Amino acid sequence: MRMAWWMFIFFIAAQIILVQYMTESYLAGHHDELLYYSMALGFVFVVGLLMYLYFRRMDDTKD
Amino acid sequence: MWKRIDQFLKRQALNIDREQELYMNRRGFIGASLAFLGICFVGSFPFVARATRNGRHEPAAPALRIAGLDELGIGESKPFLYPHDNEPALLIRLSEKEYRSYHIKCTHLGCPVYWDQASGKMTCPCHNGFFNVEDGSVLAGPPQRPLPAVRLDFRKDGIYAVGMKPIEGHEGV
Repeated sequence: MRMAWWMFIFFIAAQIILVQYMTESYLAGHHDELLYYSMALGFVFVVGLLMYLYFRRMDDTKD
Repeated sequence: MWKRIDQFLKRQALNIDREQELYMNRRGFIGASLAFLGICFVGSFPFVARATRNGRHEPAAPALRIAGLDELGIGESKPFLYPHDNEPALLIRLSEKEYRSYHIKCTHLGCPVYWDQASGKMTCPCHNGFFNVEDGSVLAGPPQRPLPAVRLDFRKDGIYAVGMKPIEGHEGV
């Protein structure tokens, strides 16, 4: 789980940067870019979910 | 009496209750992080939905008389506000029959762009941004997007602004 911890720190950093960019785009009126930022946020979430499940299973196997 | 006060103060100062503390291990942290990622993703839905709705139901701007048909000489320009009072624009007469009109808020950081007749370019003095007067595209400098163009209509009593021309990849503020 220590490796997963570092991976999730990275995911959180990426997600915060994406949210910041998305907010800037929204406030600047570049509405056509928002869908792609939302998809990127979803992608990070799905990868995080898969990684969580993988490390949980690995932990259970170790135990 | 003093003992009770002392106990009361100790209770207030040393209020750490180990049994009430949130126990957070690595697995708990990762679970909370996953929830955070999910909240960020779901939280972006309303913004996307609102932006999509704004794009679909953009109200048509009303017509506004800018100038008379022969009010401007060739090479001259006239500022006006369109479609709202906080959106400055410029009408430029290029030749006998050619007119152009653009919003003059620079697409870099919002400085007012002016028509430089000598060089034949739209110029932003703040960071030396230059725009093509023919189509509003960027010629040089830090701006990345073209100036939004105002659609013109020539009527008997003058020149009217009747809406904004759509620009690819930019839906306006």
